[in-house]
Formats: sequence, structure tokens, C-alpha cells
Amino acid sequence: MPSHHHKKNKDPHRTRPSHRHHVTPKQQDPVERTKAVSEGPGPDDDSNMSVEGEETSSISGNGSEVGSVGSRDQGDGASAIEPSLERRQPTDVKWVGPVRAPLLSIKTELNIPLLLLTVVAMATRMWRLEYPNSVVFDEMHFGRFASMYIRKTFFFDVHPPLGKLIIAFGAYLGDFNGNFTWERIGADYPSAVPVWYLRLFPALFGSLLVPLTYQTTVELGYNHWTAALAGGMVLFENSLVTQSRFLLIDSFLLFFILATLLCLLKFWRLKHSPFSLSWWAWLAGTGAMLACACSVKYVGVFTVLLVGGMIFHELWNLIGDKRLSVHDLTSHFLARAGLLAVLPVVLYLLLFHLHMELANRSGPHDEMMTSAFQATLEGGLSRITKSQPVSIAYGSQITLRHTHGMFLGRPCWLHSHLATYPVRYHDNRGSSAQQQVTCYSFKDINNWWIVKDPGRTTVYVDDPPKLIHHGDIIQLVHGTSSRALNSHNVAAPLSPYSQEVTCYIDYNISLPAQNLWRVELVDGADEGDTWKSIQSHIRLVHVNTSAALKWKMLSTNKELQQEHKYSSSPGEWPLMERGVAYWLHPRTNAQIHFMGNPVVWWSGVVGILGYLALLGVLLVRRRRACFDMDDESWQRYILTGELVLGGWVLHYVPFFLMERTLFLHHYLPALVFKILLLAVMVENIHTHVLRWPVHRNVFSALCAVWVTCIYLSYRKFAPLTYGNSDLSADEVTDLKWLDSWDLLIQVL
Amino acid sequence: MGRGKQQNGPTKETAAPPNGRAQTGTKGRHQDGGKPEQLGLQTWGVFAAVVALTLGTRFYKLEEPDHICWDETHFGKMGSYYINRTFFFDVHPPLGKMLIGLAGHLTGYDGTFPFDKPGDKYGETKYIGMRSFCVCLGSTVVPLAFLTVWELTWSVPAAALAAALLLFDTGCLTLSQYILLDPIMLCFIMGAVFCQSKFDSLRNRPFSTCWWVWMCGAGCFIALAFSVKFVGLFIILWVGLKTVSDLWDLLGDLTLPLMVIFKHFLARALCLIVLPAAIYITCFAVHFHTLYKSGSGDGFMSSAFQSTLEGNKLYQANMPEDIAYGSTITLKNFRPAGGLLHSHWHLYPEGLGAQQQQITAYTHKDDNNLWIIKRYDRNPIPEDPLQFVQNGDLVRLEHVATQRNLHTHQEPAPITKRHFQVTGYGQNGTGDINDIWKVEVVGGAEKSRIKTVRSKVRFIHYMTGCALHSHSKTLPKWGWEQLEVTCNPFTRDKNNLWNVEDHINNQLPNGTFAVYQPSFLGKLLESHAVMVQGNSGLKAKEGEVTSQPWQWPLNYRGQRFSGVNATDYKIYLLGNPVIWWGNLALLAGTMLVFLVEAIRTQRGFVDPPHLAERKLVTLSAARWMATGWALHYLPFYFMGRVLYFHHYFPAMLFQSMLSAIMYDYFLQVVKHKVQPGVYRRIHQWGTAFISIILLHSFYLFHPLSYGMFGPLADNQTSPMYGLKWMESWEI
Repeated sequence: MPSHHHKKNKDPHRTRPSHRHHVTPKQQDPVERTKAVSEGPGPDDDSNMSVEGEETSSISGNGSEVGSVGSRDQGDGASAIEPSLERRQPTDVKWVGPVRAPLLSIKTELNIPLLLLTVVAMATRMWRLEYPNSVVFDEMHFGRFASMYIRKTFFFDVHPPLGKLIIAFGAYLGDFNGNFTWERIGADYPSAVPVWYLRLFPALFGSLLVPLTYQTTVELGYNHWTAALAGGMVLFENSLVTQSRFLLIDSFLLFFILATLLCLLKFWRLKHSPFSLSWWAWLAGTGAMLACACSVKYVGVFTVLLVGGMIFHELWNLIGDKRLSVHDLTSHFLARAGLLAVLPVVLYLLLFHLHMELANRSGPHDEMMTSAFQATLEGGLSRITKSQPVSIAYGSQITLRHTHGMFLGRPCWLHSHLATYPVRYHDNRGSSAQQQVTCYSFKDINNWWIVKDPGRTTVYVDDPPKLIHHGDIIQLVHGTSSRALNSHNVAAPLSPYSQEVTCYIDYNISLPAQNLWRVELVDGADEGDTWKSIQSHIRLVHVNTSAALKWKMLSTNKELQQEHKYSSSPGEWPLMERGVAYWLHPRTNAQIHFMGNPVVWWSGVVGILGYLALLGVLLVRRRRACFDMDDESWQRYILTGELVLGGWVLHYVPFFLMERTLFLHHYLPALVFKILLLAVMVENIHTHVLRWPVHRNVFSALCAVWVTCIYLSYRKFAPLTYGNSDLSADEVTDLKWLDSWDLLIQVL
Repeated sequence: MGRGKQQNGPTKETAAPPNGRAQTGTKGRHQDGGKPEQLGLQTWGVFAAVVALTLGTRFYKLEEPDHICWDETHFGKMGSYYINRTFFFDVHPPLGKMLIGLAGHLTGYDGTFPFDKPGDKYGETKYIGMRSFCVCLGSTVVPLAFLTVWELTWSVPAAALAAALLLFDTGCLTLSQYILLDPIMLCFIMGAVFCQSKFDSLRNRPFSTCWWVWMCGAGCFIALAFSVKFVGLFIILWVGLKTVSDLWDLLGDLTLPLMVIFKHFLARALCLIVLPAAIYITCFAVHFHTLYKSGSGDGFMSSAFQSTLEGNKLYQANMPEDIAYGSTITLKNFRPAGGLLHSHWHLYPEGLGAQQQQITAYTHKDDNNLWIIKRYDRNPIPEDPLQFVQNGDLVRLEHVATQRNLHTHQEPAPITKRHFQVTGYGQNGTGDINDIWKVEVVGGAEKSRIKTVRSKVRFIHYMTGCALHSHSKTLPKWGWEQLEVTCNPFTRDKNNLWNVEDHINNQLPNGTFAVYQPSFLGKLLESHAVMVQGNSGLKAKEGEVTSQPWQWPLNYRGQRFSGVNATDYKIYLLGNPVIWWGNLALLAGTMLVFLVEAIRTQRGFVDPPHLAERKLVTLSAARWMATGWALHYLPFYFMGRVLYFHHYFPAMLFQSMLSAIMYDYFLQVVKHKVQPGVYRRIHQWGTAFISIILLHSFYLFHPLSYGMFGPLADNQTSPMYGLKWMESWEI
């Protein structure tokens, strides 16, 4: 392999930092860059070489140049993935020196492998995009949301709006009219649904993930072979292909996560020219991408944690830099706080504002929101509220909605029905055997209560109505059963230290009617004194015993953790023990099964273990003053660990604590980090672990075999990714490498 | 007094140690010049006072109330089991209960009291012995805290404060006075902390006798703590972290050859891994050896395990060996902690598959576990000739109590959706074709018979080809929290195996046959699997007050030990709020100090040498105490099991010692900043102020521990009137 290309692809990232030792930070920037470009590998180029022999340690940076350079050339050459890499040049735009460039000149550089990777990625992601022409897996949900945007209907979803907005934009481009019901998985699309446009944006973002991976690896400080390897693994990763080809939002999430990372690295690259224009730009870019990631799925919060941790670490180092004054530190801190905290929040809120603007008509999910919110929707509660009196008077008929957990819990209304409490609870506490009062999360007629003045026997509204004020004593009479809301000194069914709430049935026994309640307006001070519908939060205090009415949902299904047929637990993810069946052809065994490229997934685990093992060995050896890596490589190794391994941990471990149903595709963000780490480990082992040229050659050869295996296994599982070929039962069984993979075989 | 001296001593040495070693805490103090008097006369005086006060407060009113309080009902009962030698199952390791049993035995308790429920009067039962034993161990916490803080800071005020915080805490007092595992565990945890700090101060005399003794001591105590409750794991982690950091320092000392470091490593592995493991295993050996009779815990264990218990049906098994048609059997899931196939009259709830009768796995033995094995094609009639069930036969299983057949169909199981639902179906033993199962004996020849206990059997559903399966997932309330039984399409799953445990057939002669006896190791592993399942299955009972970890440091809500109503004798486990809130404030202060110190270091500020040395010692000690607190507290946020207030007390020990150390830190800083006279006055007034509020708050809240009659706190005649400082306290 010709050595000039080695120099070319190595110089930018290797030489510059080493110059730093000789140039003061302030003036170092433009001049030194051009120098680096013009000179190629300078005399310091080999400061990153591994040091042979243990005792020479830190002083011996130049100890064994010749041998190392030669051997590495051979190594790099042998680990070639694509032969066409030879004539490429680095793409880093910022290396085009702005200082001496003539006015208005355009200097373009093409990174052929990067371009190639992008093109192939587009091809793999967009090939036969409209196939299969039916609803695949969660397309059912996201498609429905796109329809709702098109029809401007309000809806509620557990995910924030950005992903669905992008999809809706695709639908808008394709002139989708929103008239499709998305009722079940597998339903065929009518011709009116622009499937290609709907799936276009996920596929586009999914394809761009490949060049992003490439660029991120380069920015981490690794060479272009490594970058190409990382990009290639993302490219031929079946799970990423599958997830990008349908109407799903994960590819947006992955794109924004990696983009955040890239911006952050670019930003750090400029740490010696702080507060320059590009410094601000990359910092703002980091914040913006972060906001986008969080606005696609809340998993983006883990990215926030990652970036937050890294920025904190960086600030900590800055604090240690005694050349910086407190004033400098404050501006550093404020700049980061502004662009990484305030800006994302603003962007996030703007996106939600957009969401509300676009979906402003009443829809099927109104009940999830508070009454006040519903009143703002066109044609929703506002239609009713317009004609309803604002203040509550004696005799009013009302429903009472529980305000606790307004945003997190399920909404519910005070409800009663003709069933009574059992005479004894399970734990043998007595009950009053009176009519049950519950909190019910659907609107129905049993939620209506009438406010009654205890001093009178009628429930009619006076003329003029007698308004209810803070501190008034009332009775609440249930509309359908005409019984009064009651409480007494009998323990409540689920919380023995609260009192039971019942509807009083006159059994003619010793329990006296204890059905007087005092109204306490919680926010009474600023809303005037009368009880108003919707705006007032009230607390009903029982007069006889002064116990505030506590609401508790008497539902049992909360504790039942349901499993989906294809759900999996986080423990099964790294080794990919289960996939998810996405789609099955109605008649044949052609199917789309969400699963990864097993070679990549399994070697990814080795990469993680390898990183940790090497880290342990290196740490111990450094402690004994054996410096195997030069300082710069060591810093890079640590940075990789913090950013990439940290990213993997943060995007994976929290799932163990989640109680919701989980699927394999929740592992995808972690998978991308895993792939990055794996590629990086290949270079680290090649450069820093192997000392002998022979070993390096053998290692490179093994890598070539391994890369081929990745490609072959991608090909092998492609039928499950694209679902285009009609497999025989035997062929399906042949693909079932693990017994736990639930590939489908039709019984014909 | 030693304090004045030892401040001059170490400063001389600070320059001497090589880099890397200078950073760590308490070293160097024992070198000849700087060594303080071990414990001066005055210190001994303070220590003696602490011990006397501790014993006084702890033993006062020990015999009251003379009825069962709170969890005494469990641990007293388990102590009785050891005295009676009957096997039982509990989620905690055995040591604590064994010690309680031993204490009871030695003090004349005969194991006959039933310990039915809290509130039962002891009457003539000799329960004082067991309580005395627990309170003895619980009392050691206070002097040990004194010695530990002394060892770490060489400051009497700090040591005395640490002791006082624990001494006057009503929570620690209450928790020590009853037959519970907690006083025992707290004692072992403090023991480990003390030994470890002793060991640390000997780092300049490695491999000396003292060095070995204290390290072995730490090893013993962590093992003992872990053998009482699994929470002991956190103290193991703490000691482990300390050891790793210690070894890391040694590794960085380039003057030490690798061989010496390796010796250090080996010594620690021996004393802190091998020795504790041996102790832990010994506890279990004693446990198995003591409990040789059949008892309430049999059903949790495998058939093989049960065969080692005297009085169990499987002990020198006396039942027909080969299964025949018409035999009544019970089926045990062949895995650690497997249940018995069970059914009852209740149906699956609406929305979860077909609303047919539930089939579960149950770890207790009862009559609902009995099944009759029938031919697949007809119901048994008395005239049938005796025919044995053979490998590969098609059979049906009829539930004896409800006469429904074991049935499955292609509906998802209630929890594990990828498996099929198993139900009881049919009437009077007549069902449909989905009731047919094929018997497969693992490793059995074709047509071989099925042996009681010894054959491992798979039941393959004839129509769908799935296998009868059970695992450790528990059903929700509608299924009585029993284990789920499903039909697993993946037939080779290792949880698909079952064995026949009981076998009744009047037509067959009873024979004795040897059941394979598990080895000690097998028993050990099996008990652990059962304990793990038991621990994760601990859910809050209906209506029970559970607490959240965030409430604990706030002293938000206590725990009722005894009595609810005005006429009852009431004991309420609640920390002394003055101490707890003070601790909390000091914890926040500690965090602030750590932050400020870290920033100062990072920005390169340098303290004057004597203050720097002092700070190094104090902050290092504080850091380890804070680590201990975090290790004993934060993991509870991630636990799925039901949690109670008393889980916080190990963390509270560390928190109190931390407070004391930080008090010392503030004193040092003040001493550095102000004139000696002013400092002395601040010191005296501070001591007086702290003593008074500690004593007074203890006086105010002592009825919580020593018991009270009368109405709740909102009534004027209550002993706690005006002291309900938080709405959430149930006093």
C-alpha cells in the first residue's frame, strides 16, 4: 500500500495537537493549521507511536519511528475494506486555511469513501421503499398520528412531537389526505396513501446515520480506516436498516443523538479558540441537536445526561486551568448554560407550540388532558363550556375531576355506582357496606353530582343562584342514585389510615349520616371567592372528622406487568436473544423480522469487554510507571471511554429500571455507541497492543475476514430485513441461529 | 491529652513520604514521634461514661411491653424453630435467628411459645433472655462509634458526639430493645467499620500481628453481618472499596517491589474473601445440621431436599414407587424454588385469555395440589386392571378438589404472553381434546415406568406441542400471588421439568426406596435460589403502610411497634427528630464542604501546613463515612421489594459518625481562624449547647421508645402532646 495516502489521512488529527506544545494557544489557530496542511507529517508526527520497551516511558517519544511507521503502513493496508480508498483526501473543511486563501475561491475536497458509504446507505435504506404495501408494526401508531396532523386533530402520545412532525411533513409532501384508519398491523394501504413519501424521511435520516458515524469516529481522533469500519458496520447492520425503512421515529432519534455527539466533538476541537464564531456555532449546534433528540423520544434525556456529564467534566478541567480568571470561567459557564440548557428548552417548547398549533381540533384523546386544556381545543370541551355557567351554585350539577397527577397519572372523575363495599376486606377490617365511591377515568353519567345546601331539602337552583364560597358547607348528592357523599370513621379499603368514602344508604342503623363537606378553594386567594367551574381547585373537607377527601384509584391492573408477545428484557439485548416480528406476508413465509446483524452485535460485546480489559491493564501499568501509550493517545483512549462507553451505559442501563414493556429496538441507541467503540478498539489493538509487525499483519488479515463475515451475514439475513423473498420453511429454520429467535413459519 | 501533641507530630512527616502515598489519610500517625497516647485517662473516662449510659438507657424497661412487638412474631418464632429443630424458610440468611434461638435456649426458653401475632401476651414465657441478647449486641453500636471516630480523628469531642448521637436517638434505642435481626446486624456492621479503621491506622506496620488481627476482625464481621441479613452486602462493598483504594495506593508506591504488593493482595484475599466465605458457609452448615426435622418450610424446597428432613414423607420414602393410572400425585416443578402444580375454584379474570379455572404453582403443601393421573381416552373405573404409566403415554391430569382437567389452548398466558395459558377445564373429569398431555421422561428408555421423585418428567401438550412450564414470576392479587404456570412452546426449556413428589395409590404396595440426597453444596445453592425468589416476591400486603427511601432521612414517618388505640401500650419507632434533622443538615454541609474543598484544590489554593494535614485526615475520614452512608442508602431506591423505615438504620450509623467528624472539621477550621481564647469559648459553648439539646430532645421523645399509654398526640392529656412536629407521624 502506498505510504503517501497514509500520510494524507493521518496528518490533520495527529499533527495539530502536538504542535500545541510549542505554540501558545492564542496565536496557534490559523497559522498553525496551514502549516500542518502544507508540511504534511511534521517531525512530531510520531509522538503518537506506541513505545517499544517498557522502561523508556515518557521521554522516548521518538524512540522507534522507523519500525512503527513501516509496520503500521502494512497493517493499515491489510485491513482494507474497499480497494477504492486509495485516492481519497480528508474532508475536513476547516483545514482549508482561511487566512491565505484568495478572496472568493472555492476549494472542494471529496472524501470518496465517505461519499460511497453515503450512497450505499441510501441504496440499502431506500431500495423498494414502498414494499411491503401494508401496515408494518408500529406504523399503525405513527401513521395514525401523521393522519391526525394532516386533519389537524388533537391527539395525545407518550412521545414528544418532533418525530411525528417530520413524518407528517413527508405525508404533506405526498399530498396525503389523512383518510386512512390504520386499524391493524398488516392491513393493505390503498393507493391514496403515499407510502413512499411517508417512509422517505425515516429512510433519509437512517442513511445519513452512516456518514455521521464516519465523521464522529474521525472527530474522536481515529484514522479514516477506523471511520470507514464504523460506518460500514452501521451500514450493514440489519436492525438499523429495518428500523429506517418504515414509518418509525427511531432513525430520527439515532440521527440526532449522533449529531449531538459530532457537534460536541467539533466544539471541543476548537477549545483553543474559545468564543470564536465557529466555537459558538458548534456549541449552539450541540444544543439544537440535543433538543431535537429529546423532542423525538424521551430516550434523548440519556443523551442530555451524557452531554451534561461531559460538559461538567470539561468545566472541571477549565477550573483547574489557572490561567483562566474567574471572569473567564463565568463566561465559559454561562455560554454553555445558555446554549446547552436554555436553548434546548426553548426549542423544545417551540416544537410543542407548533404541535398545538397544528393539532388544534378536538379529538379522541381529549380526556387525557385537564379540563382547562380541553377547553382550549376547537370543538372540544370549549363547545360545552361556552354555554355553561362559570360559578357553582347550590343545586348545580357538576363533575369533579381529580387534579393530582394531572400530567403523569391517568385522569379520573369522582364516580359512584350501585355496588356496595364488601362487608369485610381481605385483611378482615370491617367496612360500612355502603355504596362504593371510586375515581373513574371515563366520562359517564355516573360521574355527575349535585351540590346541595344541607339546610334545605330541595336541590333546585335558586333564582338568583346562591353561589358557593370558600368555606361553605355543602352536601354532594350523586345524580343517578340520589345518595349523598359520606365519610365516617371506618378505615378506607386500601389505605387503612384514611377514612372510607361512601354514598350513604339509609340502612336505619346506628351509623349517623356524616355527609357534610366544607369547600376549601385551594387557590382561592387570587381567583375571588366563589367556586368556579374548571378554574378552581378545591379540597373537600369532611366536617365531622376534618379528614380531607383522598382519592385513590381502586384499580388492580396497575400492578400487572403485561408482556407483549415479542417484548424482551434488557438483559437479552446485548446478545440479541429475541427479535420482533414486524410483518408477515399473508400467504408465504416472506417476513420482516426486526433483528440485528449477529456478527456485529456479538462482536460489539467483545469490543466492550476488550475496552474494559485494556483499560484495566493500562491503568495498572501506568500506576507502576509503565507508559505504553503516549499522552495524547492515552487522552484519546480515555475520552473514547467516557463518551462512547459512557454513552452505551447511559442508553442501556436505565432500561433495567423501567417497568414498561420493552422491545429490542430500544437498544438501538446503545447499539450505535457499541459499534463506535468496537471500531475504535480495532485501531487501538492494532496500534497499541500489538508490537510486532507480524502480529499486526495477522490481526489485519483477521479483521479483513471479520469484515467479510459482517457483509455475508448482512446478506444472509437480508430476506428478513427486506421481506422480499419467499422463504421455504427450511430456509427459515436455517436462519434461526438461536432457538430463542421467533421467526415465523406459516402452516399452509 | 493526646490531641495537642498529635497535631505537631505528623506535620514533620508530611514531607517525608514519597509521592502518591502522601495523599492518603491517617498514615504516619503511628510513627514513633507523632504517636498519641493510646487512650488517655480522660478519654477512658468519657468512654466509660458512654458505656454506662448506653447500658442504662438500653436495659431500662427492657421487659416492657410483655407482649409480642412487631416483627418479634417472626424472629421469635424462628428462634423457636431452631430450638425445636424444625425446618423453616425465611428470606434472610440464618445466623441472626440462630443466635436468637441460642440465646433463648441458654436462658431457659423452651421453644413452645407460638409467637402467633403482635400483641399476644408472653405470660410465663422466658422472653427476657432473647431481648437481653439483642439489646447487648445493639448497645455495642454506641461505644464502637466512639472508638471508630476516635481512631479516625483522634478527637475526643468528635468521638463523644458520634456516641451521643446514637445514644440519644430514640430510633436506635427502640430498634435495639426487641427480638429482631437489626440490633445484631447493626452490631456486626459497626464491628466491621471499627476493625477496618483500626487496620487502616496500622498501614505503616504491615504484616505485624496487630495488622493481621484487625484485618481478620474486619473479615469476620463482614461475614457475620452478611449472614444475618443480605443488607450486609453493603458493608462488604464498603470494606471492599476501602481495600481496593488501599491496594491502589500501594501499587502507586514505586519503592515497593511487585512481590510485596502481591503479598499484600494475597493477605487481603485470604482475610477478606476466603475467611468470610468460610464463615458464611459454616453458618449454613450449622443451619442445616440444626434443622433436621420436617417443618413449615418443606414446600419451598425440592423433593430431594425434603428427603433429608426427618418426618417428611420423603424421608426414607415410604410410598409406591412406580406411577400407575388412577394414582393421586403431586407434581413439583423441578428447579430451585419450584412450586407444586396447584389449582383452586377461582377463574382467570376477564381480559386475560379464557375465563377458566386458574392453574398456578404453589410452594405450600395443601390438598389443592393433588392430581389424579388418567388415561387419555376414558375415566377410570374400579374394575380396571392395574396399569403403570409409561414413558411416551398420553394421559390426562384431573384436579382432585375441583374435578377439572389440566388444559391449555392457544391463548397467551396472563403474564408471559409468549407462552400459552394453562387452565382447569371440563366438569367431573370430562373435558375436551386439549386436555391430553404426553409424558416424557428425561433420559428414560421407551416404555420405562415413571418413578416417584426420581423421574424428571416433561408434559408435552398433545395438540399444540408446548410443554407445561413454571417459573418464578408471581401472579397478581387475583392469582393469590402464586407462581404462574404456562405452556411453553420451547419444549427444551429447563423449567419444563417436573417430578412426582407425593404418590398415593391404594392398589400398590408401599415400598421404601432411596431418594438421591443432595450434597451440602447443592443444599446451599438451592436455599439461595429460594431466598432470592422469596426476597423479590416480597410485596406489600394490602393495607400495609410501606415507606419510600426519600422519607427515611427526613424521619418522615416511623413504624408502629406496638399498639394503635388510646388504651394500648404504644411503642413507635421514630428517630429523635433533633438528631435526624441535625444529621441531615450536617450531611448537606458536608457535601458543600467537599465541593468547596475540591474547587479550592482544583484552583490550586494551599492551606497552611498544619491545617492542611488536619483537613486531610478529617476529610478522608468524612469521605469514607459518606461513602458508607451512600452505599447503605442509595441502593434502596433500586429495590423492587417492599421497604420499611428500619432499613435506614445502617445508613444512619454512618451518617451520625459523619456528623461527628464534620463537627470536628468545623472546630478545626474555627480554631485556625480565631484567637485561642475565642476558640476555647466557642468550643465550650458548643459542647454545652449540643449536650443540652440532645438530652432535652431525648427527654421529650423518650416515651416513643419506653412506651406510653393514653390518647394520640393531638389530645392534651397525651404524653406526646405538642410533639407531633410532622403531620405524618402516627403518634
